[in-house]
Amino acid sequence: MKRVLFVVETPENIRIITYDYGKMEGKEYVIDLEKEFTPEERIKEIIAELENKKYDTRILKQFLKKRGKKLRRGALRHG
Amino acid sequence: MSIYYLDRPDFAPIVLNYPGRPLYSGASLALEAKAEYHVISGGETEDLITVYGTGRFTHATILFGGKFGWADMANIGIEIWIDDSKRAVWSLQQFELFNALALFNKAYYSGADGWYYPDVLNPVIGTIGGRWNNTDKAFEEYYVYLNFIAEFVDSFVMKGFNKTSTDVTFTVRALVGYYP
Repeated sequence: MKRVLFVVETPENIRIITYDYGKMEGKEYVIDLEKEFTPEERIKEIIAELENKKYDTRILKQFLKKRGKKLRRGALRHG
Repeated sequence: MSIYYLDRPDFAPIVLNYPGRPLYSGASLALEAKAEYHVISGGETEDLITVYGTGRFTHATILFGGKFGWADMANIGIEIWIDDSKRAVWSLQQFELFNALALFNKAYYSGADGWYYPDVLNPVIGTIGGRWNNTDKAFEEYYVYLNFIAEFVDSFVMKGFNKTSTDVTFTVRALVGYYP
């Protein structure tokens, strides 16, 4: 597995961390839940970007399926 | 990094894991996950840190803020969920029990406000300090830590619960690593 992907969700943000062991190159995407109005759409954009780079995005798709509709901006997210 | 495969016959009988799953030595690309000053209202349970992927949790320090005496300490704590199943629930009272009540007794019998630190530490799970309000016989800030490795193949979730009637603030700093 040369390209790995990890998702860390906290009340403040979602971090999508990627690393390509072939190129020794990593990238981190941070979605600030206080500022991002459409986190679901942003994640879909990131999925498309990562698929272009040949990442296996199943984890992100599962994340969207589990959490997608519950992701809301800021305070709304916690009712 | 060393890699061992569990389908090797000499490994299989001694490792409690399903065959074929690789075990990695060390956590690759360790990173910090944090949730700061997250308020959980009375009666609520909320996710503090969720990690998706395949990896391992290695350490966390958690700060609880509010005002809680011994009785309330049974109703505030954390839950650990690994791969969608609940694996552990620890209240602040239970953290004290892992540490032989070293922090609570020290603060309670001191008879004075202030910061207190236990004289003994459980190396795996325990309390490391607290700010005591002697008038109310309650902690206002309280630190615990988790110092063990928990492996996950799908997800790791740390939730905070607060079954008291007042707000409690949770701050978590955790170290997680993932397999390449």
